[in-house]
Amino acid sequence: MAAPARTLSPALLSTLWGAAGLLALAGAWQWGAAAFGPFVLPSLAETGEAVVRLVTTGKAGPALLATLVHALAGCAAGGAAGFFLGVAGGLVLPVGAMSYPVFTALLGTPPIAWVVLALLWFGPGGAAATFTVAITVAPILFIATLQGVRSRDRALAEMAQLYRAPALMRFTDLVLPALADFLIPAVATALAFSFKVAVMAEVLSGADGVGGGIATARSHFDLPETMAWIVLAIAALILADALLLAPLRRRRAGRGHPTPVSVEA
Amino acid sequence: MLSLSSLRLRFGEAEIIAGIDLHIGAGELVVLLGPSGCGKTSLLRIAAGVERATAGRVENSFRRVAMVFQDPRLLPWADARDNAAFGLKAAGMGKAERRAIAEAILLRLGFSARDLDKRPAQLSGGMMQRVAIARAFALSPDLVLMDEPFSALDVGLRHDLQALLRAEVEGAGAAVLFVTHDVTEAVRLADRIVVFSPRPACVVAEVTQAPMLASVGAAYEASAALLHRPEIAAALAAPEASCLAVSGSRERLSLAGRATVAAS
Repeated sequence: MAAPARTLSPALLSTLWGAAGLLALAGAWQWGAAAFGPFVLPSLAETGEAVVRLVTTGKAGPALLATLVHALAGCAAGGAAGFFLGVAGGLVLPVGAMSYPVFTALLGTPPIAWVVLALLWFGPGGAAATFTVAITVAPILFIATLQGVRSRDRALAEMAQLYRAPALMRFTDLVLPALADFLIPAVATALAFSFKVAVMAEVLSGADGVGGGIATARSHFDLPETMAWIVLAIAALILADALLLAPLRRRRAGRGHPTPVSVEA
Repeated sequence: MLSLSSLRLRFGEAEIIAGIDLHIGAGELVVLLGPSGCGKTSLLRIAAGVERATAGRVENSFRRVAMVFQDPRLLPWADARDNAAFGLKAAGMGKAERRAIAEAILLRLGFSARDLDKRPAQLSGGMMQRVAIARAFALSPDLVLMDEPFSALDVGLRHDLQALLRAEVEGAGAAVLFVTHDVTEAVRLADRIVVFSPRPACVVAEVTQAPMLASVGAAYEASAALLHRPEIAAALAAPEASCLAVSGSRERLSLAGRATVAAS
């Protein structure tokens, strides 16, 4: 008698394919290191040793914490500003019409320009990094929220009106859940930008954090340590995504709203 | 009582409703029958208070009004129980109480315990419309406004839901203003059928009858009898229907399929 055929669950398959992608990346990295030499790309082993050294000497922890604070504080401040203005703009036409070009201009401004301005305004240090993250993230959340509110279901709104739902209930039960489809991808993008921009601002401003570590490693021409800082920054981003966004994505998927979005590292 | 007097509605140059008088008493199921696009839904929206008439008077002494739409209009992120409890939540009822009431109505409307946790995407069209009906009747309404709620469903499901609706109405003692363009549906459900002309809508006939849910054959016969009346046939088929005078006669439809004058 033939044994019943076993099939892998979609979640396990997805994990396996993800692992295969990471292995392919590691293979390409190792090939690049062998082909171009350690002065262009250090090997996986050299980078691994540098990661261990940064962690065991106690350099990594405070630097990662500083970058996390810059990224998350900026993301929270800019995200909140973008969200509330997006809600107001979606509900009140003149607010939306006035804000849209402003945020479009902000979105089009290169983050490096904000870093330079922030250095002039706030001086070197963490404030410049936090400000740059906030000003970069705000338009992303504003545009997503505005589109979400504007594309809300009018038929549901009429139903709520007929059932005399109070304004707060209409917001919490109709507007917010509909917004989640727009917000979760936007927050994932914003979070990824936050880390990238925070590290960039730290490199240029000489602030504490992963960026400061990269700047120091660069000044010593220490390529394995530079790569080690990059690996640590990506690890921190993935950790933040897993802790902050993955639960939200699972909740949405469980509600019949699959949100196949992952952080853009 | 809901009273619509000398009601008129215009959208720009277009006249939608051309003077309608309609009165609905407690516990009465009145069906508005007319061709598609004749202004029935507009009248329902005026009765619901979301549309303003151009002229005329609307008096509504019913305190709890609920509405069932042509599409179910359910929250996609909420399960059947929470969707059915929406109106109760809007009325400020606590979570446990409103969910218990919603659950009881859904079970009465044919839901199984497992279906209660399902979201709209996991429900069939008929199940979704049952949730919409449960949402309306959970409020213990005095008046339910229904806008072609079964038009997208197949015949068997329509018959099931018509019977469920009639039972729910009789149990709750609610008045119902039900819009349809289906003559058989009107005959099966209505205590009174009000026939509208094509746009601009006016009343071309008003028929009082006993609802004919018990026998599909009798309902079809009665539908045929209605359609044999020239003013009704004209209203449902052609644009040149003449309006019934406000003082005109009202008729009672017999089960034999012939219209007999019952009252003036």
